[in-house]
Amino acid sequence: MKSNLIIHIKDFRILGLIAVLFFVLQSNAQVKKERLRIGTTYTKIMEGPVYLDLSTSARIDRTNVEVPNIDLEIYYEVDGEEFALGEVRTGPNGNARFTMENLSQIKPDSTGLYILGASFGGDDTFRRASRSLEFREAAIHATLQKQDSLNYVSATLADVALDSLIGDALINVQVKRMFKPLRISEELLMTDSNGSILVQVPGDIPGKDGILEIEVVIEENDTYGIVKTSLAAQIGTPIAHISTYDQRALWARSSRTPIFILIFTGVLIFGAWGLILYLIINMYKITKN
Amino acid sequence: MSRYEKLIQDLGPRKFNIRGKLWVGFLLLLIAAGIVAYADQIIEGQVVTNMRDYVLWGVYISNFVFFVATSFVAAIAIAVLRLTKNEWRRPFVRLSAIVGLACIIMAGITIIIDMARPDRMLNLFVHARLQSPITWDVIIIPTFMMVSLLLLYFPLIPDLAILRDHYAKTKPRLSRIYGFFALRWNWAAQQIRLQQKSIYILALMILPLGLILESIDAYLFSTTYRVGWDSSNFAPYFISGAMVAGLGALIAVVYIVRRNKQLKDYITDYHFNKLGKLFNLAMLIYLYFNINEYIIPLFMSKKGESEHLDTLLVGDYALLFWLVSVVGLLIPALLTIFKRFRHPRWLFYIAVVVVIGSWWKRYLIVTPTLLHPYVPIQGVPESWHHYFPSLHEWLITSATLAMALLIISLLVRYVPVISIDRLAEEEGLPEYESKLVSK
Repeated sequence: MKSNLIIHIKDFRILGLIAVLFFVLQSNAQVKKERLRIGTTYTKIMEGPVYLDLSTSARIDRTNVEVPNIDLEIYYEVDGEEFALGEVRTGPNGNARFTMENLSQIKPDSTGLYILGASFGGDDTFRRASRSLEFREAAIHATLQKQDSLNYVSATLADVALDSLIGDALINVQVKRMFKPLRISEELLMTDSNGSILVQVPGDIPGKDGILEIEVVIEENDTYGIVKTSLAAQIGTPIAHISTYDQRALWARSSRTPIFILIFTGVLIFGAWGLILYLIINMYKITKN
Repeated sequence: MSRYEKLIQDLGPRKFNIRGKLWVGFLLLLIAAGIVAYADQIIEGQVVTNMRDYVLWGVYISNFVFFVATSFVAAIAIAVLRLTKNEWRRPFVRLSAIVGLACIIMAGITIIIDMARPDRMLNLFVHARLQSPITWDVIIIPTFMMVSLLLLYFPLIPDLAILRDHYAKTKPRLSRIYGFFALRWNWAAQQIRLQQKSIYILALMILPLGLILESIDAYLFSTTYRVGWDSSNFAPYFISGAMVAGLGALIAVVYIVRRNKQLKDYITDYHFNKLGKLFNLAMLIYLYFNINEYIIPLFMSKKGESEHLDTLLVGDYALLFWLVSVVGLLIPALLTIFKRFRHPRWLFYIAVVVVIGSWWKRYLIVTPTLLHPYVPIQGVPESWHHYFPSLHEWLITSATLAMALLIISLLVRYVPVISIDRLAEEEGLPEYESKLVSK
């Protein structure tokens, strides 16, 4: 009887251990969080703002998905010390942009290297994550030149901290358009040893009043990020602007209805309802007789 | 019993018999089911229908076009036959006005049902663009509805006065109701002159308004750049189709009323024969327009239209198309050439088949076209490429048809279906003469 009782207690111990194990496993399963990926892109507009474009994504069920509504803390780093810059929240597509007026808001290290970063503190779904990027400050100076009645864009690329020209860097020269820029150069241009490029601007590119907004861009350079400058010049072919917006037409807004429709419809409406009113008056007259 | 009393007894209001009560009960049941379905559609949105981005005009619009077409019957029976001085029209005139009014009322209601958000109806007026056929439709339907109502009402006034006087002692309450609508009618010369003038104006109005209504209905489709709709043939095609649907509905209603109210002495085989001839003419004209609409494009249609025609002639809708075209139009058009098939009973069966065919014809005009857009939408679910109405759509559509039939049934119950006043005048009955003399 006693031995049976001991066995019985042992059984309870085993069951208790299984229950504790199950609870621990269950707790671990509950706290298992996904890994958040943060993407960073640095863009500098000459004589304009500096952008840090951020994206958050995660691999869930073997599929990459964009993660919206993630609060990211932006910081810069100098000599191993981090300084907070601000916060942004990713939008519906998992994208966010942090804007600075210029690079003077942050400091480089003694070699002129900047480090910008974004960190996420973690939540119920995602673990903590951070991502930083390093870049040097570059400057592009673009001018328009005219040689033998032909227009050229000349641009020079320089490293600001080193105060030296940058050779062998790939540069795009393009005209700004609504959806996608129109590239002028047939292939990517490479700066020469003086950090310069020279490219001809075709004379038949259409623009409003002939004005072209030409952009000179270093695209995602490993050292300098994206640097962009632009200049506007009246060197294109003016667009003939034909608008029917204010014309009275079948496809115009209601206030620009064609006169013949106004008259025809008006005559029909007032004619028909005028007669209906007359008939209703007749009903009244019948009552009075 | 005097002849005058006999006229009132035959043509005046008559209580529903057991079959009539069952009929009204059945209609009310359909209407109740439709109201429940519509309430659910309002709450859940049009997701309860099977209309999606492809077929955005489904059975509601088909039904709307059918009602608009059928409402045209008043314009034919009253205006055309009156202006052409066809005296055989008389027994049908009031019933055609009743059918026309019921159908145009239901057309207006059906288009609101299709709007899904009836609370936004005011926007149709506030943001109206007069260039749009939708706006023309918004204008013409209430106008035609009002004229149809007056066209039924004005000729009815003396009959209402006769019933007022008739029931003054036996049924004073009913007499008071008839009296209210009789506008103190006492056969005074001035009243008769005003009434006759008003009827003449209405008869003149209903024809152009009817033509405009049917044309606008056609423009709703033909001004939209889609295969099967982009046709300058559409307005006359719709008008001829409306004549067929309207006359078919009228024949069916006249036959049932004649049988239930035992009006064989008033609506004779001669009248049906004449109406059958007009019906036959309408069907032959409609057949001609169908040939223009479907056969001629076979010779010169481009890819998009060829695909659409294939769908109708040999594709998914082929069975329905050939049933509607052959059973619903060609065979009736051929049969009614022969006098034997213009006999009331035969004509009734033919008319019922034609009306059912006319309803499905509108479905064929609306739906297959929407399944073949010039620029297909990419990546849509497979189910969007097909359309068949959902249970909600069928219940609501059945309810609108039931409402139209209920309006007709109730008006036939309470209103003389043939003018007692006119018959009494034509027969020179002393009771009628005394009313005139006494004033």
